[in-house]
Amino acid sequence: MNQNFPLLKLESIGKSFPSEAGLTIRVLENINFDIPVSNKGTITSILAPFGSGKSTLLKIISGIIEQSSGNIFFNNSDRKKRIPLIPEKPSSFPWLNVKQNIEFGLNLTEEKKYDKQELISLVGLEGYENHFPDDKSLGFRFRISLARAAALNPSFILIDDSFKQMNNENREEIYKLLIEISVKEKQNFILATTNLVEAIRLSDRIFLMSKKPAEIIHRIEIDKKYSSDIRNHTSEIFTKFKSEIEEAFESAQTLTTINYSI
Amino acid sequence: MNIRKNHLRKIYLFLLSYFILWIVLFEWLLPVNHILPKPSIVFESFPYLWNDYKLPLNYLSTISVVYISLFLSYFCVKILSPYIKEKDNFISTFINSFEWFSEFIPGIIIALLLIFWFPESEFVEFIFAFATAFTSLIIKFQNESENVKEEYLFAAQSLGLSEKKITQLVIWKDVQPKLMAHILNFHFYIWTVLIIFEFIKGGLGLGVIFRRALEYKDLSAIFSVFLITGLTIYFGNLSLRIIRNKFINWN
Repeated sequence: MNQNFPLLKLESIGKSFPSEAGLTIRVLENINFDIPVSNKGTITSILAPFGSGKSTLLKIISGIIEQSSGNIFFNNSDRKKRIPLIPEKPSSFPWLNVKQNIEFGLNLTEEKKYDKQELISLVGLEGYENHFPDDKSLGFRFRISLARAAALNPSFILIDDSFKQMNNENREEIYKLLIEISVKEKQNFILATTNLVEAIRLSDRIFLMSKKPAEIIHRIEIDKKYSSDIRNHTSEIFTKFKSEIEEAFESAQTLTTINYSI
Repeated sequence: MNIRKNHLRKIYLFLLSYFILWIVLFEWLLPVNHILPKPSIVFESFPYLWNDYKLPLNYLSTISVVYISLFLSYFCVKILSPYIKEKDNFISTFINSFEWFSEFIPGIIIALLLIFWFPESEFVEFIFAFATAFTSLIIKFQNESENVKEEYLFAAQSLGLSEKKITQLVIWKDVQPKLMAHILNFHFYIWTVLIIFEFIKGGLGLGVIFRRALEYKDLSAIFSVFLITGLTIYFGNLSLRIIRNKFINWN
């Protein structure tokens, strides 16, 4: 890893789709940001309203779809990389049990950082190795997807608003798990979300994205030293970040669909 | 689960009632009639079915054609799935032309042509059954492969799987339960079509027994083979359900 270049750099990324009426819909326009190399794991959030193109952006970073314009550099290389994406809806395969789902990921890489058992422990699924995800909670299914993604030993794991439909208990557990993996395992995450609280609580860095055609309107860096204060939603530091985000969206007239509820 | 069990229990009770009704009505109250045979004559006719109508050979012929063609079609669709998922390659276009054809020409006409071209071949029955099952399963696969949950596809794509691997490891797996449900519905259809085919063609099969029994005006033979066919389809269905519940039990 070259320390002089950012881990990920998006340069003037644009994406358009043809509509059924023959028009061109511009979803992303001139998206620029970079995530610097760090000797610890980071969580970067892309906070944006519903339907602004967050998922499209993550799919471009992941390599699922091609951008219409601009470049992506992974540590100064434009070589396509495999960046696992955890979609909004549960993506653990219901025909495989926990162990097999994780093996599915492990079988796709030569550079293994963890073995199967380590991955199971990493996401807290010890004792559930032979369980199938079918009838399990969203949190359980997210853990499987997370372990399968981590099996590839990627520089990033992309998470596309996956916590939206989880119940509070599950969500709190998953928040804790993500922070733990990020800190202990030095794993980087990019999280797309519409939830302001989630973004402030989890992130080291937040990019605010406007409505369609989306562009980055503001960048906020959050020091980890505030992490205990930030958990308290009435704390001064939390309120400061919240106001900063509200003001940025207000000035870009993008306030409507951000979830500000605490 | 209990509701389904209760419902099944009621159906079995009804079937048992029909059976008892048949015995009471046709054994004692209406022993001579042209509607249904006397139960004792039906049971006595089994040895004749065995020898005069060559039941074992004909029975084996039909069930082997039904189940071999079904399973072979299933595995052919599995093997060909990466090629038939895309609609614009040669294999897909070739198969879809059959689909188009079958919308306008009833299958039985194709059966008649096959019988005309190959009147002596026993293999032609298998070709007909296989072609019918294979076309049906492939069309089902093509349609269902367009409805695979996009979250599975995105996850697989982002893990770096090739298109071929995605079809084999994700799309095929997601479509499998729907294909199995289709086979369960199709199972009865293929039995019906095949018996009609055998009835017209002659040679081997349960349809041939029906034809001969009709020629001899042997009501008890017709009724016995009807019972045997019904029970075989029932147990075939049950076996397919067991296979589904054991091996393809995800949603």
